[in-house]
Amino acid sequence: MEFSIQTDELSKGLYRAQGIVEKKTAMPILSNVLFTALDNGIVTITATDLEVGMIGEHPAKVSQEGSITISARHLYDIIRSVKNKEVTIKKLENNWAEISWGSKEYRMLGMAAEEFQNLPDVSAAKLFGVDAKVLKNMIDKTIYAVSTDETRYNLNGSFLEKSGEAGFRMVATDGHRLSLIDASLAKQSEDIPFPEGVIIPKKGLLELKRLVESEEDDCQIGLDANNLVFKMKGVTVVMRLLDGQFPEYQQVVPENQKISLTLERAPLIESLRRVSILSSDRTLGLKMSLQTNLLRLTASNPDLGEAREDIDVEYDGPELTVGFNARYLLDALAAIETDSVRLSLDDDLSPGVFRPLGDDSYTCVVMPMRI
Amino acid sequence: MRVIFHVDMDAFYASIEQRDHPDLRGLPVIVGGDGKRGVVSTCSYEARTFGVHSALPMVQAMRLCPQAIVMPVRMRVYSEVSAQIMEILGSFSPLIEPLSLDEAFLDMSGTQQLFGEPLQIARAIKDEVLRVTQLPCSVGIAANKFLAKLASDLEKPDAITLIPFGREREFIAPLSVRKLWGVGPKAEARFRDLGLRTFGQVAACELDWLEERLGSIGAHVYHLARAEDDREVVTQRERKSVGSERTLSEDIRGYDQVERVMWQQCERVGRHLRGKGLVARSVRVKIRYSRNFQLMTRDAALPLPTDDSAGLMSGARQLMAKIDLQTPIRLVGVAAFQLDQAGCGGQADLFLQPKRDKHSKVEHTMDAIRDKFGNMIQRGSTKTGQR
Repeated sequence: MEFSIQTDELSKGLYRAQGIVEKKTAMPILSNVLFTALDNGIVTITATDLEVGMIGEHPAKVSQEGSITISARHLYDIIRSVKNKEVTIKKLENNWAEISWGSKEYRMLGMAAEEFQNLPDVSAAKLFGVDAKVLKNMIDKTIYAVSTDETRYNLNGSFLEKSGEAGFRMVATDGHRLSLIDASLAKQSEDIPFPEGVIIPKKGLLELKRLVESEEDDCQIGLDANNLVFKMKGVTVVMRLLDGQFPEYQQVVPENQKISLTLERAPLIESLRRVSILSSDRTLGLKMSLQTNLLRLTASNPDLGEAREDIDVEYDGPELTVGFNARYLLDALAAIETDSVRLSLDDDLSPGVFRPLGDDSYTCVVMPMRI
Repeated sequence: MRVIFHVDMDAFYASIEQRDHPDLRGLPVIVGGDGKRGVVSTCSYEARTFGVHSALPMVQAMRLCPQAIVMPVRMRVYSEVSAQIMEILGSFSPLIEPLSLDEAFLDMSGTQQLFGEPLQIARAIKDEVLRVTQLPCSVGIAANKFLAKLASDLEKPDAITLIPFGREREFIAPLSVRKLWGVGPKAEARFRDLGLRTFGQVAACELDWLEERLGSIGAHVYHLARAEDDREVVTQRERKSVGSERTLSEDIRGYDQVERVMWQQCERVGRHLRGKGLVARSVRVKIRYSRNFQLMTRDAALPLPTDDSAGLMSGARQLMAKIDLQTPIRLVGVAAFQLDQAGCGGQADLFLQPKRDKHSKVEHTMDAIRDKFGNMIQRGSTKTGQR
């Protein structure tokens, strides 16, 4: 195998692979990327961790077909600083690879291509076009709520399902808070081949986000058996969906709540940040107390002191005090983009709900702390 | 100068049995489970002369002393007597640290004005305990906890032992390192390999040299051998875990059988947590196989701080799935740990909370019924032949 490739093209392919290859693994080959040189002037770069896999096609001058695997991280670290050059990668005996340009020559110990785990064949997947900006937005607005608790495996990803006129709904929760967004993801409005809701693993979401940030054209997704397939110009990503039942999330999104407040987002974020500095380390708990035309934030930590900030609001209902984890409130407020937010509450045991003012397509539910 | 007492009841359970059954006095009495798997909880001094000691398997104990009279454990009686004893001790000093039902440390520093010299106070404590409970005890008096505990054991039973203040090192120098709690035959062998048998020999070593060869236990013993121990008498011990386990009269195997026993243990642990107003953030299961007494423990974090038995059980089930349950098992246990006070600052859960609140309420109600009427209601799944 031997081919020459522009360093920008090679860097791009290796950069994309970085998020997928395993840094520490019992299977060393998973730290490598697979180069396959084809006779049509294409070199493919494949990376996989057996859960998420990616294959990219890159134009190259192929002088001899073949394939080899090389450490993704080391090769990327070497190539990333080489601008506007053409490098030649050549397979030598015993899976050694020679990487050279000009007077520079590197030899790296690779592993046999036959040992590399190929991506599942997803050629039968029915794909449909999606709006890359919308996809990125849906991921951004849910991913922070994905659970990292391995004992709640079915919450370790975002749930995606077809929903109503808006097209698609993405939901993520860790049991403490939940974020839900409705958006017109598909470019077509009918015959969308997406029969049921699926749970997309967090790592896969991060990869998708990375890809749609760099390119926005011709993105497609689709399902194939237990995999989600994503395609865009020159790149295919295949990720194994989380099996398991996503919880009945609709049941925990409160409706017709008794209390509704309109709050300025930026000042509220600042207040929450300051007040939470004096809340207890482990739980970051603070209290929100509502009185007539007043929202009071308080926190205390026996080792540090106490904080109190009063915020003017329009309110004339009964007094109420609810405890919240400041982190969860800040995460929700950071995901909202409007200047004003609506906060809805029922009582001190029921969830609080944040929404952008005048926009019901995005919902952040936060469960209180017992105080 | 500190004055620490260690009060230790003599053959506590056995003495209570002899007290309550006068015909047993002067005879070898063993208190413990009498099933095939029973172990000796306590034995009377008469039985000890035959080589019987606590934690010995009952079968072996009976071989050593066939004429021994075996009495079942009456834990409720022992707890009641223990409460009487702790109350008496509490009247001598507010600084009392119970170590178990039958022993406690007392900080008696500065009480001479009130009660007299240490030996006099010890005499008064012994007399009072004997008057109220008709039970003998031994008292160790010294300048720190380690020495006091060492002292109470030296001339047991029914003794008062004072390690002379200011001459502690001299006093303990000839004693074997085995006298130190926590130094068993294995650790003793490691000391012996270094030519160290007595506290005096250890005290004469360099600290670095000991640490290098024995690790942390080397430093520990070094300080104690030099009669240095500044641990305070802690009045209320913070609970770190609540556990319950059961040695089975016959081996069990298979998920269903283990699950049933596990349920019973979760019920007991849950009840204890609720009684103390605690919630646990983690659960540990413990399985001992018959073969080689091999022990297996596994921990898991609970999704919510929990005081209900069903919540503990669901954590235990997750762990059971990772453990071999097909090999014959002789002991099943569960422990709740990472304990917090209930009801303060817990993050509620969107999906689990309603169910958890309901469980917790049901179980608190069941506790109330049990407190009033005894253990008359039980969960169906803990009963034999039912799921």
